[in-house]
Amino acid sequence: MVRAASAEYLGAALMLALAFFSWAGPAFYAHDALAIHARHILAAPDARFLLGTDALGRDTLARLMRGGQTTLAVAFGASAIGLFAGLAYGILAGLGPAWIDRALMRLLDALLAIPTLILMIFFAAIVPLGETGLATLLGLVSWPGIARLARNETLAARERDYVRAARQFGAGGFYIARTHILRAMLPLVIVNATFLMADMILGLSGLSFLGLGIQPPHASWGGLLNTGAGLAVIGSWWLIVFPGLAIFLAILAMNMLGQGLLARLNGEASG
Amino acid sequence: MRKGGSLVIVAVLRRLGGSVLSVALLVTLVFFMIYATPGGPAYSILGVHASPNAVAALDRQMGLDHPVWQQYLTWWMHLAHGNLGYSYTQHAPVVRLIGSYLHNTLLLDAVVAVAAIGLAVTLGLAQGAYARRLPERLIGAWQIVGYSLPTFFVGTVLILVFAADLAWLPPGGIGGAAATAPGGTLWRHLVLPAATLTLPLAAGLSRYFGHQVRDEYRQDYVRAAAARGLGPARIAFGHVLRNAARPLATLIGMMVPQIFVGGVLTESVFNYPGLGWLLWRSALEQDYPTLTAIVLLIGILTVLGNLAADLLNTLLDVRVRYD
Amino acid sequence: MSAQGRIVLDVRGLTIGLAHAGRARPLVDDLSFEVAEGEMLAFVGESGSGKSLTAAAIFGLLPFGVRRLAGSIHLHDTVLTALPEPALRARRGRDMGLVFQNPLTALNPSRGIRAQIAETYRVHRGGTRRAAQKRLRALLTEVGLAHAADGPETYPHQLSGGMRQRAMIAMALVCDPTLLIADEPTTALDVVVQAQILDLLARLRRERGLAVVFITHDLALAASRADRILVLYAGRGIEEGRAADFFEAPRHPYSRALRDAVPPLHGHGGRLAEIPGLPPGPGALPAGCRFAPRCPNARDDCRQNEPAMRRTEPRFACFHPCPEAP
Repeated sequence: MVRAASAEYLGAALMLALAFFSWAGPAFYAHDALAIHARHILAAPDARFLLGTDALGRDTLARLMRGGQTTLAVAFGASAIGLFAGLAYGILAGLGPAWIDRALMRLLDALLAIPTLILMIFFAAIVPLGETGLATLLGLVSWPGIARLARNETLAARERDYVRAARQFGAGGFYIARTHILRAMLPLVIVNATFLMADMILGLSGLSFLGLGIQPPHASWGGLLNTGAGLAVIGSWWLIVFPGLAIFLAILAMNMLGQGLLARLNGEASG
Repeated sequence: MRKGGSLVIVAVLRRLGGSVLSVALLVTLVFFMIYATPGGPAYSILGVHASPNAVAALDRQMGLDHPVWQQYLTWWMHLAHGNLGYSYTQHAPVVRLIGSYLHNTLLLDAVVAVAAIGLAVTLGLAQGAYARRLPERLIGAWQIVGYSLPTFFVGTVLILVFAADLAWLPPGGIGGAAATAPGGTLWRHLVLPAATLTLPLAAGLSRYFGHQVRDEYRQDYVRAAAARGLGPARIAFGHVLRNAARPLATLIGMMVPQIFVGGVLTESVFNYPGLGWLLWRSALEQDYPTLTAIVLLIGILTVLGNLAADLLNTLLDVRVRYD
Repeated sequence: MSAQGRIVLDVRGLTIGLAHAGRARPLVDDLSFEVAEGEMLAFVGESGSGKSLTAAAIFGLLPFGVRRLAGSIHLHDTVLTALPEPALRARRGRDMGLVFQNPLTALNPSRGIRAQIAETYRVHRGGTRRAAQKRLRALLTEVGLAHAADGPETYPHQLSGGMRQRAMIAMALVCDPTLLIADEPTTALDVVVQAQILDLLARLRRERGLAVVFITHDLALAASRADRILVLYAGRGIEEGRAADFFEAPRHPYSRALRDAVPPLHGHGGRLAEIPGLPPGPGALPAGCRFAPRCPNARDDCRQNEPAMRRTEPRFACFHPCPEAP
């Protein structure tokens, strides 16, 4: 049972642990993610292959580490891109004249009508993408939520007295956006960026699970689940349980971090 | 009262107009998404290694060499006639293709929607009624785990346990004609996908609803009701539920896309022949006409879902004022 | 005692505190009072003095985490504090009614007022919808809401503040209780409506022989409307007396300070007196009399021992009271 006030610490610690596992792990572990052990195909977890091997005799734990690097890096890149695009769009709508705001928001409504994952599938099907491409795609389809938040916060901030005062003194729109408005919405943006990252991990993993994301032989958590699903049914449970747990823990970490921060932001009782 | 009635009609018309505009924008957006695609449909039909000449010939044949605005108009014309194109990979008109998968999705989604709403209302009420006590914390912990669990992981594990190991339930599909006949075994095929899809949905819904209920329980009218001698059940169902349920209508409208998203992954895991599965297959096989049609359909359903939620809200909320 | 009839409510040694208090002081400390048939007792005190908690304790509806630590509450011959929850629930709304400060929030916004009043009646009395409807018409007429008795259902937002409070009162009285507790019933209303509601309460008290506990922070209002006044300070009763005498010559320095803070009705009497300092917070209680830090009369003994309420008239809890003549 987790108390709301300590959720952010647990979440942050969990995410740090997963990142450490992915990047520092290979330095402590003997097996390589791509090395094929032909005599140890579908080996169950034992002292040598701690989490077993796959159909080609590759070590699951090593692939899990490598997959973590890919998954977390792409999800992080995608979140950064989505955050930047959303903030730019939202602040533009919020600061611009009313007709621009209305037009941009109408467009946003239409975009929001197609769920993010569906958009991802659509584009991923049309254009085969590498890791950078995937990060860009994920980022570019996931910004509307942040954009709406940024727009609403901008509208609220621009009615505040100090922003009005800055305008009267002739401060330019860009200056105001940078100094006042961004700062005012920063806490809320951070919370939502956390949830965005959770969405991106889920989205990328889902896409890879469907065979449309990171392509083999590159390892990713979703991809490991994809290749493991068929084999798990005939007994190799370790091929899905560990990657699935990794995805779950990463999403859980970000959700806990986000919820804890949100509770803190709303001034809910801590203790 | 008559004046109020006409105001409601105006508000409904305004919402309808907004939705029509949204759909129009959506159609345009999807057109440009395809138009901007490198390669384009010709490649998907002829294969990635097709010669430029062959591609150009097919482009001409399909009218893809016309100016943008002409193609855009043609696009609208086709949609207006219900012509969603022809699937070259499945060798069937897209409309018929969608028709043959849609009802499976609707069946699954209906089961899931009922289960998720029922679960969310029960847990949300319990969570609100036991604020700051053990039940609230337990439900809260379940919720965050529930919507952090990826459906495709849950689905795979469920297959592993209940289909592969215990062999209680089929691992996927919907069975043959015997299963879908009345009194058939179709329900056995529904259990696992429905459970998979319900879990994250109920977790998210009940969390939101639980917050609503908790806020309602802090209202004076709840204390006043207790001071009048009303019991906890009457307060919960007769008073709190009614006020907390209003935002639930919006949420149920928002569930439509969520069910579809979850549906794509769940139907893929269980090889359940629904719209989500069709979307997945057409994405893997680069069957653009089908892909586009489903994306459009989901978009339109989302707009309609939001519209329905709005209208429901208007009916539920006697205090709504229109300016 | 100015008891006009038999005692309806009898509270003895009521002490309320946090369930896990540690060393925090009780929120209500050893409070005793009684209210007779047809009598109106006014609780006067600042916010946080324990007025509303006392009301909640009588109804057995203390907030989560707050508990009755000692004392007993009798309603007629029934010991409310000994009743299990279901038995107590059956008495709420039937033998005792509660009127809240803000009728807008105390009425369920999405249900009609007739439905809410009838619900109370049917929960306690059972019977048909028809019988409830008949009862409803008489009651709504009694509280001056006759126009809401027929036709389409009336929702709280369609009523003015005063009308809402009338509906609230009707809801509290639908089962003919003998005790009515009105917790700041007019604070959210403007002055004219305030007078109307208090007139209504006075009439109902007279006609029905209701025992009324009137909770307010307004000493002048209490003195003009109630039979007796009980002044609370930081959870403790510090002075009790007949309303008529009280305003003339309060004996406790706190009561006197309260009175001197009331602006005179006619003329401008120069600067109003104010009480220096703040009431003690829930954690910090001074040794001795809890008013001593702010008291002009305080001496050394006040800071060592806590004065008890005198058992005979005039009843106050002070070592160095103000003189009888002002």
